[in-house]
Amino acid sequence: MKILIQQMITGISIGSVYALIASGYALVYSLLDFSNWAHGEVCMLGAYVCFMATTVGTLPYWLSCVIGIGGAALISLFNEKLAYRTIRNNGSPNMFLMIAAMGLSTTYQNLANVVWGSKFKQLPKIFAVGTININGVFIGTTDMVCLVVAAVMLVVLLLIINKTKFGLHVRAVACSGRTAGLLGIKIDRVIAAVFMLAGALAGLAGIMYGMKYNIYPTMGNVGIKAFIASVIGGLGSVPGAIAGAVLLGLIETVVSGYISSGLRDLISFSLLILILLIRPSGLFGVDVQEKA
Amino acid sequence: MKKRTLLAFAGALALSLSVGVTAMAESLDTENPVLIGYVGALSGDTALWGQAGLNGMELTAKQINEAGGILGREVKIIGLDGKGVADDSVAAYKKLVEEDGVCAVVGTNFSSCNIPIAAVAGELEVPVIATAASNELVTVAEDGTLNEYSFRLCFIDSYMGYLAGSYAYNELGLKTCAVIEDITDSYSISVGDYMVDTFTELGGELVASEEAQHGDNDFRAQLTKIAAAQPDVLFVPWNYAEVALIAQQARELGITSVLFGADGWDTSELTDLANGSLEGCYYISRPGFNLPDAAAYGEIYAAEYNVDLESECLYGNDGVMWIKQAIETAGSDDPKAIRDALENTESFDGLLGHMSVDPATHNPSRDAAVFTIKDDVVEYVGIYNPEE
Amino acid sequence: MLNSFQEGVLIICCVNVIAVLGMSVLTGFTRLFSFGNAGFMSIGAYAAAIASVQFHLPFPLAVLLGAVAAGVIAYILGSLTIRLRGDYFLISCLGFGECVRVLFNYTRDLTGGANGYSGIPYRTTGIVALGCAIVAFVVAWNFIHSRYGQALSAIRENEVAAATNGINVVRYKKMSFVFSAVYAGWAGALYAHYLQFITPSLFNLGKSSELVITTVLGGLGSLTGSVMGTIIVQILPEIFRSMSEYRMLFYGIAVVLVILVRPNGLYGYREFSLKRCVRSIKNIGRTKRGKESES
Repeated sequence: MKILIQQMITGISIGSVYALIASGYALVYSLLDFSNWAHGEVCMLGAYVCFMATTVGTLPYWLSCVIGIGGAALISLFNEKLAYRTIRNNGSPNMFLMIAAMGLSTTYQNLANVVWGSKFKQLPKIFAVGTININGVFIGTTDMVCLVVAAVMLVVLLLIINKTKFGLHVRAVACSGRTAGLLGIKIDRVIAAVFMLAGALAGLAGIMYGMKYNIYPTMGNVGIKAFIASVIGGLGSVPGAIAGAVLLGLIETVVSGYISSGLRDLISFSLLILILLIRPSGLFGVDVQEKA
Repeated sequence: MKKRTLLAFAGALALSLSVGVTAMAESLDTENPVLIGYVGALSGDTALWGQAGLNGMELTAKQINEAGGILGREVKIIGLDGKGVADDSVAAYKKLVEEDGVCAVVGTNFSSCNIPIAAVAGELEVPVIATAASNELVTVAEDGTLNEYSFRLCFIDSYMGYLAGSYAYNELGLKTCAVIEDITDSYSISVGDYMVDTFTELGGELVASEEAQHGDNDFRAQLTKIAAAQPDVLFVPWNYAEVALIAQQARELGITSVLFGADGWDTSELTDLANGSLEGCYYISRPGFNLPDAAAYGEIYAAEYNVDLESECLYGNDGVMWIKQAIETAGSDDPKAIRDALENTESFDGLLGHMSVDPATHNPSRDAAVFTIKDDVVEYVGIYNPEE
Repeated sequence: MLNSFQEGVLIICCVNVIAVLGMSVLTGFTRLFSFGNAGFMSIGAYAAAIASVQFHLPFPLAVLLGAVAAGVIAYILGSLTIRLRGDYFLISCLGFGECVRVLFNYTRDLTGGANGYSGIPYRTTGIVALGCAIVAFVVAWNFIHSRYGQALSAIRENEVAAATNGINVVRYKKMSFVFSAVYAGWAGALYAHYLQFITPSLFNLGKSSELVITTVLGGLGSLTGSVMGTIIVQILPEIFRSMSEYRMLFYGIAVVLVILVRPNGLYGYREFSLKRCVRSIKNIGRTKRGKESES
């Protein structure tokens, strides 16, 4: 029982990082119907920006985090302005957005390699590396803090989307870009803002990832896990992405803990396919016809 | 005190080199250089080591040229990127041989690249010296035949595993063990298996065996199971970044075992990343910069390239020096003559220490050292040889 | 004649051409993306390798077995997932590819796991690879210009309209999925008999993405574009091999630039034709002359 609780805690802590990245995926997908494969790299760059601010800039830690998050938001915006908007204006098919994102992802990974080298970096630990021992169940302090921050951020995100005027605009554009445009919503501005929001979340996730693990050029590959999570939850649905992420974290840990860590990915992907067969648009997805 | 003798040594070396330059400079034949190739991961996430190997070779080539070259001829190093991927590395090897006409190749540090290169080297008949590729199949094929043109500088997986298991049981007196292996990495699997086999054959007990994959960052699901078994020693045959994560997460979950590893731990970054969680742990590796010659070389290297030391650069140096010795023994840079000389090397003293080659397997026999982490610093325990 | 380095580049190029042609038939004509084709490649590679080494099958039979094995698996997977839309299909393929890799790592007794499978005979010579690539191209060309190919084009242009005209959309999509898997398996089998040693990590997600990117760069719906795209993607990095760390960076930038500047890929929806080539050369001459007279 103790072990089960321990495994659940691990699973949720893994899932919370997935959730931050996955919600950014879902936001962008809900507007543009494409999978932003460069999202994981935004996460990586955010972590590096924060790292540079603390080590080279010797700024206080909280300020570095803010700079990291802001940097990630700007990089995400840059992607939209440079690449995605041009492609939309070219009138190319939607899948070109995805390929461009893959190109950006390769570019950023190798850029990081050239600029910072392939060495593993670590963000300074603000909290003493300690654990809280509750009756034989161990919880790391860093984990606790990350979990709380992630939860707060995700609640704030849901509030923004559901309760503010900006959120209303986002939902309107997601529902139908053309109609929203006719009603006077500046679509490009909404899209740009959403990219910044998604980028900021990715930056936060990257910093948390760097605090818990390491920072390295290929750390953006965690984005694939987040992508899977958002598919499980239903593409384009933010609550779905969060639920999918936590679910994926739990499945991974429970499978590693009780069945076989070698077969972990095999089982989690089989489950994914199974979920899709039963619910072809994910757990929370709405079955809309794809926009042609 | 120690540092001063090293500096004096480096100074003496530099002096002797500069004397060499004035004496030999005129006779260096630059028209007809001796070409030595290098294949390594110069891009991607293992470029750290690939680049260090190439730097080491270039530095050594410079030193050789200043001292009069090989057989009076200039040495030139040509480095190509193999990305750490099998087909790219094979292509790079072929390009070096066919387009650049090198007489020998050094690299790579991955068994998965050197196994296919070994097959190609047999056809193109130009010797290749692997640096850190420690799988048995690099020099001896699956059916037991020798890969005639494939050599290596490092010790093999089984030897490292054997030493680790034996040291943990006999010297540290530990009785139960657990292991966590990377099932996508042949190095991790085979070193890990040999560690456990040696340990259990000596009388120890295996209480938990776990797997994970390259790219994983969270090992707590597996470690929770290991924590329940509370082994005396946990074998961690991984590379340094994952080692640091495994160690921190293990401590977080209350595992107090000694962690024991192999040469994947061996970099200057290890203790920085581990945040004190590796206190009292051990690993087996090459003596590295702890031999006086290597330490002196390390200082010159660090000054030349202004980077942190990676012991991969010693492999680069030893590769070039071993080829130099072979060419001088053979009296020519004909690849076949070099091959014969490499195979029959009875004694080669490189920066990684003394070695001799077994002509039947092309595996070097050389000394391995034990290291421990004390007060957050890697400490050299000494050469370990259980036979003695 | 070619030296062994050039022959190696030619072989790798031809192997990739076959795999990309398969992708081209799937993605270019049905707009389904598969990020699992490296998985099919590895099935082909391992099946053929095991057939060669353990059962001493002759090389052509081993390759055939590899291609068929990939096709059968694709048929089963396709029956389950082909109805999924866009990204859901994509992720199921991606998941499949990763599953295959994990499985081959896990079944150490059969495949050697991460230690790799060695001792595969060298059979894919330059001639064999080139011959296979030409055959693959001719077959694919005839396939898309047949009745089936026209049905596929109809599905690409408008799925609903195609369905109302009596085209069995699911069946045709599945057929092109199996087609692409057979090609991937074929390529994998040839690859194994070139490298003589395979490990599961050779066929990772990176390999699948490379196939997709190449297909898009060459131009969706253009087989000649796919061939040109592959040649560029394979040979350009070879030339820059000594530029090491900047190599992959330029590759990424190039992908983005092509997408931005040539929105339909190098040969979008068009096939390479000599006639047009001659015409455009003539045009260049004409504009030059025009400019000269202007000045």
